[in-house]
Amino acid sequence: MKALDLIVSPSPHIHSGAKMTGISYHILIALLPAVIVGISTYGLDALRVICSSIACAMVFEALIQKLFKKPITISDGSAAVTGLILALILPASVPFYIVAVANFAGIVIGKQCFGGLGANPLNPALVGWAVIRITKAWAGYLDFDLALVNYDTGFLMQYPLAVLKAQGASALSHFDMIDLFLGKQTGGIGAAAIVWILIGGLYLVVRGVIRWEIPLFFLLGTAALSGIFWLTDQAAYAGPMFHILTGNVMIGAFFLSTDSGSSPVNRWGLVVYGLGCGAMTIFLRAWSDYSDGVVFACLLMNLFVPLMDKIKDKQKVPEVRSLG
Amino acid sequence: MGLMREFTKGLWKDLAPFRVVLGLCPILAVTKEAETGLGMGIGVIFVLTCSNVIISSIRNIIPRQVRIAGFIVIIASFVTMVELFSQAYFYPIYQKLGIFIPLIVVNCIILGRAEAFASRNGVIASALDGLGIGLGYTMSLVLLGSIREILGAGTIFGVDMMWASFRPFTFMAEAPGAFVSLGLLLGIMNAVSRKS
Amino acid sequence: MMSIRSFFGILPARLPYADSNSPPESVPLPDTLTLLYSETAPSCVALRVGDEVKTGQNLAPLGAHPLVSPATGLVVEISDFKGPDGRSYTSVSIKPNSRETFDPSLAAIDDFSKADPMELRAAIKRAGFSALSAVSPDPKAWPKVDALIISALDQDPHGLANQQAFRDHADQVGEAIGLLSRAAEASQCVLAVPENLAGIAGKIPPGSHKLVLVPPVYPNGYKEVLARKYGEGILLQGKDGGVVGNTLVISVEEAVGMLSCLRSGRPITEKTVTFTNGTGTPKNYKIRIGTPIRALLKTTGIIPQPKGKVIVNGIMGGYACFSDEQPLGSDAMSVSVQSPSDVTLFQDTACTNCGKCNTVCPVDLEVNLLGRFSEYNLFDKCRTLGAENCIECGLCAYVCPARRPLVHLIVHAKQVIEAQGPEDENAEQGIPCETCENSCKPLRLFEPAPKEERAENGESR
Repeated sequence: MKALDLIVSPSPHIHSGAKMTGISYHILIALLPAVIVGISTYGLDALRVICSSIACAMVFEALIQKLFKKPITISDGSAAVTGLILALILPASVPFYIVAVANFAGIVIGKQCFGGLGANPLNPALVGWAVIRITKAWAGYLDFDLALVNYDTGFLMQYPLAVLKAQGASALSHFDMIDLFLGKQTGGIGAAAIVWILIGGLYLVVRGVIRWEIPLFFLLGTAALSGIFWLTDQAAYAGPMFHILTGNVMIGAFFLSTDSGSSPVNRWGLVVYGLGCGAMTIFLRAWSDYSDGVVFACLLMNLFVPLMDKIKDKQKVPEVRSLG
Repeated sequence: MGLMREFTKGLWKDLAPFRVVLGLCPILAVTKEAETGLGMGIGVIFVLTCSNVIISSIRNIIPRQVRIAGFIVIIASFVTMVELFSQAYFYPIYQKLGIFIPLIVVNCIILGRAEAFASRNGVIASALDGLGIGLGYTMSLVLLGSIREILGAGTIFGVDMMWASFRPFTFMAEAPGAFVSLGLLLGIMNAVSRKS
Repeated sequence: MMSIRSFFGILPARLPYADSNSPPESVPLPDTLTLLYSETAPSCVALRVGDEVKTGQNLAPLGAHPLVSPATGLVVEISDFKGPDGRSYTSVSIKPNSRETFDPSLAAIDDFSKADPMELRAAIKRAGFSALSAVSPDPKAWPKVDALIISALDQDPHGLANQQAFRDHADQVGEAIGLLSRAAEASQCVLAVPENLAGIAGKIPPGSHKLVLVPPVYPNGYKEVLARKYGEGILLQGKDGGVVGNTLVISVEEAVGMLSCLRSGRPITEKTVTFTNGTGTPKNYKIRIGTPIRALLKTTGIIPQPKGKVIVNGIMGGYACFSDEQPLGSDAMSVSVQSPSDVTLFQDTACTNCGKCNTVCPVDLEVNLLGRFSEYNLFDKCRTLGAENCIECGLCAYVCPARRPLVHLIVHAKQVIEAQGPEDENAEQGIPCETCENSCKPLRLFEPAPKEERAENGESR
C-alpha cells in the first residue's frame, strides 16, 4: 500500500487564532474615540499630525527592515500603534519634521535597533517623544500654552500642569474637575480627552489586550503619592483628582505603560510597575523642571522591567507530580 | 613594511573608539563640537606618541612590578605639558575641554598602548603605533563632533552649514545624543567591516 | 467548535471538553496487531518469529512492565521501532487467529476485600495494566500513596472514552474504587467527575471516597493537573504545610477494566478510543489493543488527505503520526484526522512578552522565559525554571499571538535536560574565573605574566 503523505509536527495541532495584528487593531480601535475628539477639537491640524505620524512610523519601519534585510512586518500594525500613540500626546500644531524625527527616534533607535517588536526595552513611542522633548530648541513647539495659542476651542486655553508648576495649587481654583474629566482642557491631541481615553482603555482591559493591574495600580500610585503631598501642603501641591485628570496620566496608565514588550509579566511585577510609574509621575511633576512627568516615569520604569519579572510567588515552583 | 603596518593599523583595524571601544569617556564628553574634538585629538596624539617613545626606550629599566606607576608618571608629564601649552596658546579650547585634558592621564588608550605595545616593542615601532592610534582617535573625534555639531547647532567648526530657518536638533548636543550617535556609528562600522 | 476567545472578556476564556453520549462501536479484528514495548533490551521480549502466543500471555516476562498479548495467534515480526515521540521501541507483530485461547496463568479473584494488596497488584500487572507497575515495577516494593484519584475526565478536549466508561459502568465504579484503594494501599480516595456528569456521579453509593466535581475545561483532565488541584489539597489537611505526598491518578476506564479483568480472570484486550475528524461530534470506537490506525480509519470511512495530519491522543497534547500503520496501544485515548486546510503552522517569531502563556499555564511555569532560554540554548536556566514540570498540554502555544512553537521549545529543553542527567552538585564550585583575561586577549592589552614569575612574586589568584 502506498504510504500516506502526512505532516508531522509537535503539539499542539490547533491554534486559537490570536495574532499580533489583532492586538494592534484592538489598540487602534480603543484609541479611535480619542482621535475623533481630538480632530473635532483641533480640526485638520490634529488630523495632519495623526496621519503624518502613523505614516512616518510605518515608512521608517519598512525602510529599516529592508535595510536590515528582515521580513517587513508593518502589516502587524505595531508601527501604526506607535505612530498613533505618539501623535496623541503631541500638541496639534507641531510641525511635520518634528513628528518625523520623533518617529525616526522611536521606530529606528527605540525599536528596530534593539531587534524589533518584543525586543524593545522601552516603549518606542515614548522614546520618540522624549527625544524631541529634551531638544531645547524645539521646546516652544511642545509647550502646550505656546503651541495652541491660535486655537479657539471654547474652553480655558491654559495647560493645567503648567499653571500648577508656575503658580502653585492656589491658582487652580478655576479648573472645574468635571470639565477636566470631559476633556475640556488643553493638552495633547488625544491625551486630553480623559473620558474617551478611559473608555478606550477599559475596552482594552475587557478584551484582555492589556492586563488590568497596570492601569489600576498606575492610577492608585498617582493618587496615593499626590494625596500624601497634598495632605502635607495644600497650598503648594494639587490634589489627587487634579493629577489624575490632567496631562498624560490617563493615556499613560492605559496606553503608554502597557506596551507588552516593555512591561512585566508576573502579577506582582505588574503591581510594582504600575505603582512605580504612578509614583514617579508625581515625583517628576512636583520636583522636576518638566510640567508633566508621565513619559519619563514610564521610560524609567520600563528599564526596571527585567528586575520586576523576577518577582514571583514562591509557591509558583511546582512540585507535585502524579504517579502513574 | 612591518613598520608601516604599525602605523596604519590604528586608522582602521584597531581604530580606538569604534573597533576596540576604548577611550569612550572623552569621546562622549568633548565631541559636542568638531573643534573641541580636534583639540582633544591633537593632545592625545602628542601624549601618545611621546609617552610611547619614552616608555619603549626605557622598557628594560622599569621593574615589572611598578611598571604601571612608571607609565603613569611619564604620561602625566606629557599631559601637564599639553595642559600648560594649551592654556597659554589656545585658551578658548582649553576652557571648553576643561577637566578632560588632565583626564588624558587615565585614558585607557594611552595606558593600554603603553602596556600592550610600547613596553614590548622598539622605539620606532612604538612611535609609529602611537602616531597611528592617535590619528585614528582624532579622526573619530572629529567625525563624531562634526555629526553632532551639524545636527545639534547647524555649524561645523563654527561655520554655518544649514539653511537659515533651520531649528537645530539640540538633542544631538546633549549627552543622550552622544550615546545615540556613538552607538549608531559603532553599528555602521561593524556592518561595514563585517561585509569586507 | 471550541474557542478560548472570551466573550468580550466578561466570561473567562476556556477550552471546554467534549460532552456527548457515544456508545463505542466495535472495530473488526485486523490482519495484524502490533504491540510496542518501550524497553529495548532484547532479552525483555522473550519471543521468536513463528512462536504461537495465547491471549493474555506475558510476552516480556523479564521486563519491568507488562506486555500482554491481546489475541491468540502467530508472531510474524519482531523489530526495532522509532516512535513518533523520538523514543525507541521493540515492536511485536501478531497475526491473530479467530479462535481464542486464554493463558492459564491468569486466575479470577473473587473477594477483593480479603486479598493481599501485593497479590492484587501482581494480578493487575498480569492482566496487562501498567498503571501500577509504572509506579513500582516490583509489586512488593510499593511506595506510600497518600491520595488516589479516580478520574472520569478525558485528557484530550475531544476525548470521550473515559467519560463513556463512566456513563456505561457507573454501577461498577464503587467496587473499582474499593479494589484500587486496597491494591494501592491509599489512605484517601477521590473520585473526580466532570460537572456535566454530576447526575451519574450522584447515583454512586457514597463510600470511603470523596466526590469532587471538576469543571470540564481543558486541561483539567491531565493527571498532573488533577494531582495538583485535588491531590495536594487533600494532603495538606491536618498535615505539615510543606509536605507534598504521592498522588496516584487512575482513569475510570482503567479502574473498571481492572475490576472486570480480575473478576473474570481474563486479560485486557480492548480499549476505547475517540475518533474525530475535526467536523461533527467525536465518536467512540472499541479497538483490539495493537490495532493499526488504518483499521480504525477504514471503519470510520475517513481517509486522511495528503499533507493532512493524523494525530494520536488529542490535538492539543498528542503527537502527529508519520504513517497510518502506527498501532494504537493501551495508552491510546483518541485519534484525530486533520485536513490540510486545518493544519496549523507555527512561526519562528520573537516573543513580545505579552504574558498570555504564563496566565494559561496549568502548572504555573514561566513559559515566556522558558521559550526564550530554550531558543538560545540556555538549558541550565530552563532547569532552574522547572522545565521538567511541563505537562505538554499545549495551551501556551495555543494562545500565543506571535505563534511561537512554545511546546516544541520546552520539549526540546526537557530532552536536553534529561540527556544531561541529574544536576551535578559540584558544578557550583571549582571553575576558576578567567573572564577578564579571556575578554582582554583579543585586544592584547593586559597579558598575564608567565606562571613562574607569578609564583616568584607570591601573587595568588
